[in-house]
Amino acid sequence: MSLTNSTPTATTTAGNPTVQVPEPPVPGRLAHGGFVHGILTNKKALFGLAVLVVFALLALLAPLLAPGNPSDFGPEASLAPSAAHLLGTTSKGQDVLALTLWGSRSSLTVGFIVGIAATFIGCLVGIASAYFGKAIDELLSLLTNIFLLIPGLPLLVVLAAFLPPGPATVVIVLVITGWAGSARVLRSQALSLRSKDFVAAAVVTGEKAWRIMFREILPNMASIVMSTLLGCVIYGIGAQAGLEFLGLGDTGSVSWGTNLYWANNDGALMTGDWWVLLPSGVAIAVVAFALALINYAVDEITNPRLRVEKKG
Amino acid sequence: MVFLLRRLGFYVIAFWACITLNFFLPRLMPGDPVSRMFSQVQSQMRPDQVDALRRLFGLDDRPLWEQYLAYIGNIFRGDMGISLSRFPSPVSEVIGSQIGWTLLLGGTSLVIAVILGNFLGVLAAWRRGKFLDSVFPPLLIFVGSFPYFWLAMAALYLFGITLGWLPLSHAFSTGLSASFSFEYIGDVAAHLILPALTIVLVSIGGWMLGMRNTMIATTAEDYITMARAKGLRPARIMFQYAARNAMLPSVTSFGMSLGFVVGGALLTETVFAYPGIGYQLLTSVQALDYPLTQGIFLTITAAVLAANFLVDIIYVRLDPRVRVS
Amino acid sequence: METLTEQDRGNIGRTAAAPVLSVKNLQVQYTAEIGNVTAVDGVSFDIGAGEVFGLAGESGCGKSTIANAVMRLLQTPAKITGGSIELNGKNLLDLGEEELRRTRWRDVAMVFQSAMNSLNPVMTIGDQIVDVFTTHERMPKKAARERAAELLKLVDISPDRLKSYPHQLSGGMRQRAVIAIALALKPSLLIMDEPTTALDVVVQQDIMHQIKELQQRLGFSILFITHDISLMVELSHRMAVMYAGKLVEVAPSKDMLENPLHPYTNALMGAFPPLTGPRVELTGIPDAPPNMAHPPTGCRFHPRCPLAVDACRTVAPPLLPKAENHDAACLLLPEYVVPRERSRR
Repeated sequence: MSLTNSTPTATTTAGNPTVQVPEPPVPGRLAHGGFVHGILTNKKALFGLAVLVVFALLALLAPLLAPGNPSDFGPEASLAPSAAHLLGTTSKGQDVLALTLWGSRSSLTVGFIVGIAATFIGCLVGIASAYFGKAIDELLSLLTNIFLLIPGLPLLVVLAAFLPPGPATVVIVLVITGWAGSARVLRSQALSLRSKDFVAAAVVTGEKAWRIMFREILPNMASIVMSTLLGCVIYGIGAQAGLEFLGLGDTGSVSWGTNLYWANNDGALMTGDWWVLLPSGVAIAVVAFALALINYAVDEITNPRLRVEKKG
Repeated sequence: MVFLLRRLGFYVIAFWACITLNFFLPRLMPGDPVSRMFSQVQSQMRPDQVDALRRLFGLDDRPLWEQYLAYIGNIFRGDMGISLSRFPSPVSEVIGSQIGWTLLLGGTSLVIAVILGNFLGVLAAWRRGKFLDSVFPPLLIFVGSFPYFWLAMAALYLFGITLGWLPLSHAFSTGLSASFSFEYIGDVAAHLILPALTIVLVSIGGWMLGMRNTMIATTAEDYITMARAKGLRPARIMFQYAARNAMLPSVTSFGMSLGFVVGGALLTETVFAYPGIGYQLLTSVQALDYPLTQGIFLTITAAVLAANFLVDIIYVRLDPRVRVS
Repeated sequence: METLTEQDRGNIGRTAAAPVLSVKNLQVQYTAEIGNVTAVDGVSFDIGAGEVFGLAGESGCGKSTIANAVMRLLQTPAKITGGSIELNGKNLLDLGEEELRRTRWRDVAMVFQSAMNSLNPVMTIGDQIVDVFTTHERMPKKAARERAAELLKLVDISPDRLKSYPHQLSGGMRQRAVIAIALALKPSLLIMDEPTTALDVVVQQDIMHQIKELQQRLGFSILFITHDISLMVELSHRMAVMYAGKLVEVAPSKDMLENPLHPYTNALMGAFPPLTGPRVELTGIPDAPPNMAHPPTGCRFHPRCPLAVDACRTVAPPLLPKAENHDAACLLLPEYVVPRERSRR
């Protein structure tokens, strides 16, 4: 590395914030091209991505594939899967396939919004914590740890019980309970970057704090932000389903969680209408699994030690 | 010692934060949830009880800080108000009568998942790329991707309804009274299997994978190479050198995961109508029984914090490095 | 530090007695995505009883790989692909897992680079010594503890340190504890892979002195690996210089210091002040060491060699006697003709 603590003057002369800083060897990080290449050649990642794309398409095309309001009651109740109703009907005569397709819209949207928002807050808190250190770090870490420790679902239930019901409440509540984990992971990563020479150089050149945090530190932890994001989306989808299954979400909407809530409420288990319960649950699992696979692949690519060595 | 005191201080602050949240939540919420509750229950209460309830939710005229101090004082005396849905039982009594079931369910499944998951993780890491390592992790991640409650329903449908092997709901058969008889304990165990199985199935994958990955990182350490060079037996290296070190992060995440287990137990209890406080929490929310809802939340949090402190004490026993510093 | 007499230097390791360690034509490959990398390529050397044999070279030249190969500690992607490693006449490469396990530490022990990392942080020093006795000698715990206490005394550590954890000891003490563990079973060969790099100079001197003394008292052989040439010359009877996976020169240490033959060794020595000067790492040669995935053709040193001629680009020089007891691998050096009355191995 050409830039060391002893020669920061080399970069201060221009006073230009876009200092030419050589890429530092950050542990567990690959060059950008290497990462994309890694994802595109990793079987797990490709499979996960393919599944996600399929679900996204189905969600987008739901109005075409299953026109009409999926919640409308129909005359044919509790039918097992058949040619007319590929996934059968509920006890209220709703088409299960339509419910599942339409449900994916809410579930995926909420999942991704929650994931992105929680990761964003996590980034903000984590990087600020690592960058400013001292009292701010103490305070933010304390806050993070408290939120990590408070059992999420009970907190979710309590918050949902007091907040006015609606889709916004669901998102807010899920973000409140979901950001802490990512903040903690991102803080420790940002902390190791904080001590690198290129950050020190940026500080010496008088760059603004937010600029160092988001232009110098953040890009260097892209892969870990990515894996945190995936984790948060999984959390968002799962927790939304849980909340709605308990009847604490937005029971008026159609999502995988509400589908299961109504199925359970209408006694689908007891009447043996397994086909009402199966699709939404499997959909949640498959999407979560796909995300987990991508996450796993990201881990493998950035941490080669986890890769299974070839025999022979 | 310093380490433990610091942790204890942290838990106290965390618990205080929860109490504060509990205090302000009903006072600051829009839409006045409390009056909704009152309209529902006022008729069946004595005036002094209504007064107490008003105080609990800040509908009296005292200044906020005075209410706040009184609230904290009450909590530490174990007074969390009176349950509305189970009127006139105090909240603490309702919780006390049900927390045992949650501890039984959560404890059993947690212990099984942790021990089994970590053991599998050690084996998978030790035999990299072999059967256990290549088949189990993806399978368990997949199983773990299902929502708790969905797996619970699937288990219920399969083993309870279709096969009829195990009871469908509750913690013991109606008509049976608590005793140390073989019949009663067997009955409780039979009712425990499905809910516990659900929680174990969902959570075991995380343990296995976490342990596997730390084990792999640990086996690259110099002291493992030295242990191999010393000609120690593989089992000794695996457990006394590798796993003994790899379990340290596992112990830390154990504390963190308690919250998840509680959440899982809540959902599972709901599906099986298992009479723990998770199920009660949901019922209380539906019945707008806010004192009970809040009481249960505080109790669960306190339990999780206490358990975490216990984990810290164990951690100090396991890692000599934190003992001195 | 005591110096060896002229005669010692010449004779040790050249005696008729069978060598303790005999490495023949050793080849080690790393399997990588870009292709196989031969980290150690046809290396041969002997270490006699009671001999301290040094192995020097830049980092990445393959010297640690040799140490790990002798202990058979190499793990995928590294693999021994050829040659033999005979320890007291027994080929280590023929041993099965269980036999290997019994041989390790009993016949050959190793002191690793960093003592902090080579001790198990959650076990006491005592338990980590006792481990060795209970495993290899089926000794009862109590007796093992007494032996462990003696061992600590041997390296000047107070026996009440048995109950200490590694983090409670100073760096120098930890390294001495590791040496004590290594000597527990009185192995005939001790491998030391950069045993003092993590320590400061004073402690380093101290420990090297102690090793030397123990070696003379107990009479084990040492394979000593370092990139610190002055340290090596001080300690070892004979030494080899390694470059890009091959030995380029083998000679008694004094000869090597006073009369280096190979241009690489010359460059190394030239970059060094003699014994008394400050220690410098091997960085004084222009250009980087070669990329081992695509080693240079012919003599591997030719791209950096100031004397290289055309033939050096195509012909790989074998390691041959170039002076009395002095082998080198360089085309430019005339071969040494062994006088009739002396026979070499």
